[in-house]
Amino acid sequence: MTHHDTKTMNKIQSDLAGTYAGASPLILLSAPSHDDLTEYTSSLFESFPSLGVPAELRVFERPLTYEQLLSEISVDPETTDVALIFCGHGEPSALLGPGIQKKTFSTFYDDTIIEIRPKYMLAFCCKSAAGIGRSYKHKTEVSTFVGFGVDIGIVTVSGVYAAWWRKILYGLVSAMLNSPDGYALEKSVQSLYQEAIAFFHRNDKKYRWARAMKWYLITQSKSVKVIQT
Amino acid sequence: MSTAAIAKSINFALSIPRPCILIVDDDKKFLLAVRDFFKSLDYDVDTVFTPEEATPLLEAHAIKPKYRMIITDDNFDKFSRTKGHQFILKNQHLLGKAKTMIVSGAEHPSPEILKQLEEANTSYIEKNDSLDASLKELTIEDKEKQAKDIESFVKDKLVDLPSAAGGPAEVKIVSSVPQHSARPFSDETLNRLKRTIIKWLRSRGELDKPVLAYGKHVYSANEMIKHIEDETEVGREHVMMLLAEFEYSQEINEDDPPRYEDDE
Repeated sequence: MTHHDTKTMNKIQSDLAGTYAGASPLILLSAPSHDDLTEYTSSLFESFPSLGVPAELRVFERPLTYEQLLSEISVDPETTDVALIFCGHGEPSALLGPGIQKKTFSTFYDDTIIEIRPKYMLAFCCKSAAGIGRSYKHKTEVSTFVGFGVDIGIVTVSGVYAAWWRKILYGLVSAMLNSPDGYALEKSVQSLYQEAIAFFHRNDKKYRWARAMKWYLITQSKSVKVIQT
Repeated sequence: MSTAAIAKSINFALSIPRPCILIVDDDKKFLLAVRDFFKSLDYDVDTVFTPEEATPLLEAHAIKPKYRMIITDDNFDKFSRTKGHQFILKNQHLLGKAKTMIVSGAEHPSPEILKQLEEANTSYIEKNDSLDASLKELTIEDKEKQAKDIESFVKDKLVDLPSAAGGPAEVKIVSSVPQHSARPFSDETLNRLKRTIIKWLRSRGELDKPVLAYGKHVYSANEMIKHIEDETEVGREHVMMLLAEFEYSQEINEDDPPRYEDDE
């Protein structure tokens, strides 16, 4: 994977040059890429299938905040609903980006700036449900959060494993945007995980790390938090 | 009847001083919070408010440096004109092998200074919500390094002591400090679960390829085996995952139990 500073890759669908507005949410695929894990997770967003709404991909290797990102792509959160899809490292109260030195972190997103909180958030990372997710419960306007309350695991191998992580990510985003209510969303999320677990259960002699995939998928399915207000 | 070699176990007490950290910060609240963080991880902690107070501590242990880690703020406002990065760069000869880091909420230093810090193996961490994650990461690295240092030291001491089988004595470092909240497992159950998962990991091949990302690290099979053997938090979580897999495989559905052919 070639490395650049903050860059745009695969502008999937953007019907407005530089500005976004309107009823459809903007999907913002945000992926730090600064260590073994995040280099893998950021690659999962490559060639992300269209969901029929505008989407923007940002892979970043240097400190960047959500607020800065919105500014860079000229998105006004007051007029545009944003679906923030984050893949990387997380803490209960923050989504983490690269620090200014190796093996350090910066804050990409936390809840200190409530006004720009995205309407939808998929935090595919550790622990953010415990803090950020909880704060979504207290929002008064309609909003959706999907994330995890504990440390999660990922098998960082290409091929069938990456294909399934992509399928899960796509499925989670699609469910988040299309489910009529929290109950339906929860059901869709669990159905997605059960399908993935069943696949690796059936094929655990066929794929070298199938068993580890099952472990991590089971953990994710048990710890995923779906919050819709 | 053949005579089986009888393994002889030798127990001895190894006195190892607690690892020590120096924290330099004029913000008392922050200083105490970081102090408490490291104390909870079994470090001894010295705290001072300024580089001027810290320098004599380093000088007092110039011959045998005391600190494993030195954490300093960068900007001391009215308390000191010396910046934290100046304190670190000026006192390289007193630091020994200490891991140094600057934790700052102020403006980033210039790229030239950051480069000098990088060359001096000094981390620069921001005082924000990600600080906790950064400190935990550094602590994990330090604990692993400590274990290797101790293992090396003990192996040197035991170099002349043969094992019962005639080869060199095997050295295993086991932490006496609990690293997890205790869960009720009988020893035998836990050991069998550990053996199962370790056996599976060993059978994967590619034992040194990092493929198992969990939390903030990506582990190879060999690294994960070590965590399981040492019953670290990561190791225990993976043992629990093995149990969860077993539960899943039972496919017990209490809401819709199956019918059996031998039901009357």
